[in-house]
Amino acid sequence: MIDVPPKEWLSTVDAVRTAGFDYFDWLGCVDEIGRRDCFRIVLLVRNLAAKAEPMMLNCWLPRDDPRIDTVRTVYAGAAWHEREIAELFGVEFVGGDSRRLLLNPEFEGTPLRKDEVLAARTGLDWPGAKEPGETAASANRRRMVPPGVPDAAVWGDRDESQPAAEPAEVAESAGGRIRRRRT
Amino acid sequence: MAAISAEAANKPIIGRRFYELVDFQPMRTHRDLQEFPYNGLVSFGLDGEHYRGVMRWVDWYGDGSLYVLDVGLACCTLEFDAAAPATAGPLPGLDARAQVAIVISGTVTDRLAPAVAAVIDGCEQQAGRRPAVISFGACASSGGPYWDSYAVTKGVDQLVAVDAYVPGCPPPPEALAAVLDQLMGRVGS
Amino acid sequence: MSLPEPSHRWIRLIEPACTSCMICARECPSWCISIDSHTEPVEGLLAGARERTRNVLERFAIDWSLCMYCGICVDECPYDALEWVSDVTQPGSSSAALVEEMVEKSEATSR
Repeated sequence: MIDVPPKEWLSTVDAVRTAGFDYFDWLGCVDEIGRRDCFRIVLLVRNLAAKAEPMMLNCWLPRDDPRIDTVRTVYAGAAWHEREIAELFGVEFVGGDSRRLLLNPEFEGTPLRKDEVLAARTGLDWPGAKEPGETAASANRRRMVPPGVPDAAVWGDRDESQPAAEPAEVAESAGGRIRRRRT
Repeated sequence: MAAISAEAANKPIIGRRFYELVDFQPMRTHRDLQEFPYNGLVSFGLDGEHYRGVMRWVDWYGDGSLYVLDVGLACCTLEFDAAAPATAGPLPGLDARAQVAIVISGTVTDRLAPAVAAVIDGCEQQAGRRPAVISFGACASSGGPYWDSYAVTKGVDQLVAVDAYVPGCPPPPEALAAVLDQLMGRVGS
Repeated sequence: MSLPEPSHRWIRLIEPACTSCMICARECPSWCISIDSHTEPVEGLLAGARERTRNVLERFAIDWSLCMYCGICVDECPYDALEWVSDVTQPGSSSAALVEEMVEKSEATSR
């Protein structure tokens, strides 16, 4: 895994291709919120002739202004992957194809960012919120909170006088493998 | 179960040209025709443009009484393939009593929803009668396990009136055969 | 083609085994299980024994239009009150018809 500064992204990818890694495998993006305030663009390419290990290139982009050069001039197959990343993460590929791929033109938002909350489940009553022996979930008791749904105190039902939640706070509240009890 | 009934809901067709949804060029369709001669064609309109889609119709009982089209969107289409008899082909001239059914197999994404609606309308025009619409599988019935997604239409009944909902993820092939038998009044065949 | 019995085509509730513990409803990824229950005092205790209550299941429903047949509910039930059956889940003519109520309502509230 090699870290490449954004300014050297295109030249490095071009050099990698010239060095024999001419098979484009995938281009992906990781939202590293909570660890670093960055998006990590990851490129995996292979040299099939040499039967060597694949080459993985990382590029760290600032989350508030994610721009990177397109590599579709080097690997034509990267075009679709870049379109997907652009519409789902909001990353701008300079010189790239900016058309939507999977989402409707009217769609607003960047759903794969970790601080973008999947709102559908917050609006519904979770069937598991009831305790055994209850017919209607009582508001007073401590209740279990479903996994994947952000705590209302952080997102959705937040106290108006509090400042808006930090993106990292929202991301942590929605993700997580530990089921919280609401106190 | 009612036979073909209820008028199709008139849904506004929003969205783009079908060929903007994927990077296909129109010529590729003609090449597909040469490569897969057994595929039938359905014509449909979208955004005022006329398209021909490569689809296959299954003569379900082999006697021309029921023709079934699969709108294969996701995994459920494999169960349709398992359920369908071997022969599939273009839609011939229909007997006045023949019935036509469309099976929506798989997840309807918001992006493809206009195309799905247009295909169903186009099938109705080609067949000259309203097809029975069967929502096959959980995704087509309500969005299924993806009901919470930002990109999924929660059931094909958001686009068209549905005559039968088949639960399953995916439903076994026998479920589709049983629903079509019921539709045709051929229970137990 | 013969299939191993039982095929994973439908899930059945064994009502006497259910204690309304809510584990299946909580573990279901699709949120398709709905359970209502209430508590009742246990009868026939020995004299001097402290009061005990038990859960009485009122409503157990699975929305088959959402279910993805993952089987987590069957695996997680501590009392084996859910089991796979080989019959095909019944289709319906509306999506509301795909919600199956598995507890028959009766006038008596206690068994």
